[in-house]
Amino acid sequence: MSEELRKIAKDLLKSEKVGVVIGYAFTKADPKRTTPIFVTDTRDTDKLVFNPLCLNNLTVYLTKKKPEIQEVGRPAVVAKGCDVRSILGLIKEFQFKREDVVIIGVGCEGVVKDFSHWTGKLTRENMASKCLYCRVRVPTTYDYLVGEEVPSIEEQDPFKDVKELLSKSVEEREKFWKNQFEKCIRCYACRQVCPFCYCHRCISDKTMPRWIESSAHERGNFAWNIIRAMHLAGRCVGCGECSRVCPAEIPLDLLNREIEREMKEKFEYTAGMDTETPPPLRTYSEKDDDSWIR
Amino acid sequence: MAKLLKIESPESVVEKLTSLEKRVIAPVRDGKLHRFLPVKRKEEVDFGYFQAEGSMKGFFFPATEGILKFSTGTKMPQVEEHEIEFPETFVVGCRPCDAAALPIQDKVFEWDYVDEFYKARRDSTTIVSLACTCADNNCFCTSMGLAPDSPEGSDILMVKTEEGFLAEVLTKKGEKLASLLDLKEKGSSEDRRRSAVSASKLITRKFKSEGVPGWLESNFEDPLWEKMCTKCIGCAACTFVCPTCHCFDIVDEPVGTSGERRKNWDACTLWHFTAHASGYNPRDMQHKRYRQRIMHKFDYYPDKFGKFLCTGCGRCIRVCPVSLDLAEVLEEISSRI
Repeated sequence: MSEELRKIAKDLLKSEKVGVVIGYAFTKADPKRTTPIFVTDTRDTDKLVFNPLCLNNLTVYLTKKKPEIQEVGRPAVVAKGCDVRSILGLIKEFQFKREDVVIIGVGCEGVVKDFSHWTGKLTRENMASKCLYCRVRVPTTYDYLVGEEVPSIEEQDPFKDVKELLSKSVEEREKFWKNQFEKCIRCYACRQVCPFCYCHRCISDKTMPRWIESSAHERGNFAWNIIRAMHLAGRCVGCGECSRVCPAEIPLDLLNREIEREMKEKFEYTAGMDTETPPPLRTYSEKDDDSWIR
Repeated sequence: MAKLLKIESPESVVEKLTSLEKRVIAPVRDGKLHRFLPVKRKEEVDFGYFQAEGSMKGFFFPATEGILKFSTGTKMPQVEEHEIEFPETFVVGCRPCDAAALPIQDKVFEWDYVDEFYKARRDSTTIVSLACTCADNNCFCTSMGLAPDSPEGSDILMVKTEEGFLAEVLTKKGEKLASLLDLKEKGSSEDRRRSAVSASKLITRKFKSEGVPGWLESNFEDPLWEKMCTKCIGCAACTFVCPTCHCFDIVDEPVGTSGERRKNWDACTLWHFTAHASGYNPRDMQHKRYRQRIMHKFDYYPDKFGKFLCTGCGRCIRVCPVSLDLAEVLEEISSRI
């Protein structure tokens, strides 16, 4: 699979269709860990790999957070099905046009939870939870596709853990999140890794006035984490990067998936599935529920 | 030669101290993570850990800390200083790379201006570290002039030997604790020497770091920065888990007409760290921000204080969302010297 990928990357660079290929390579120090790589030279295409250790959602490098990468030239990006959902979402939000990016889609059997779980074989036990209910193992949109035959898996209910938490009392849920947010150190890894957190100035960085307390205490942490989740309503595509990178291991995707569940229930909408369906929070419809206006 | 005494186990230290109702901080398993937390009983502690995810710097330099209270409700603004008083505390079982970070931070917080909050915590705390018996590929303490059984920063260093544990008593605070623990039986220096030999074999990742500051000084604009560090996504995970990073921001946080002035962790890897009020940012690209992190650790700080601002604990490598490997950057620099 990696061979095919390298060939596509080489051709794209050689024909000058793209200026840079954003992909994965193994790190120098650890053969069980991958890292993002920006290939601009055809001689470096041999470094590209794809396997269950390719955890990152590389589409974060397509956003305006990273102007230095786009300056190199039109990018091609290696994208799993879930990552392609981010691309479609970003196009829908007018961040770039479809033709501005070359998508090298990869069929994906799933990725490992984190590098330390890798045993040389992907199993249901060491697989990232998002992969257990993945419906886009083969990307829906692409310019090139590598590895189109992916075995199907028995699909799980994507909202199983969300429903479990919701079945608890308000007090219990409050206690759960209080314990989780107590660990937050406000490093903003969740924000920085997220393709949809591309605001030029994040509300948490604004000081005149300061809307959210920057201190890593209960008030500040609740405000930050809840506001981030709210701002992703109807936009988050569930790539799970925020949870993966959190140094305090806060299950941030639980918050996002509860909002995803509500979007689905109330508006029959799932983010990142196409570039056409109007996003509910940006659209007015006469059919909208207005019973709450009194 | 430091005094060597026999000790039953790290757990026995916790047991004795908690039975004397002392404040003890030790590694606790919390879900999948190990964290340093205050403990009441030895059963809460898990010394079978590799390394705690966060360092213990937060006990001396918290992520957020109130430094004064204010109110503006009356005609004249009122300011109330925080009382600085901390209970006697014992940190038991931190790794030598975390203990070694403390004298490095002392130099900053007790230099031209003495940070009273930090100093009060340091003065009231005794450090009982536990020499490593395991390491991973991200550990590089030996390249930073340390070792898995370094005594730097510890008051007592506990070392596992073939028969049990040795307590290497290093400071006055350590001696006071040794008598509190009632340690009498002398340990053998031959046992200590043997454990040092096995510790030296633990760390496989090694590079020459001596010439790094010199290279940094003359290669500020080298293409290496852009090449190796563009992938940095600009979060502060590496600096916040780092036992030596110490940048902070001072903020006023009012609720209505009264509030608190707080000292919060800040990080050079964040965009807003150098953003000017005008909107201009002299470190406009991410690789320049990451370069600052390296320059501070391996050039500016050593220039001023004669040591690296790094103990080689490897946390920044393990935690990085994009696997940006600080040691790999140093290895690359080292290969060019």
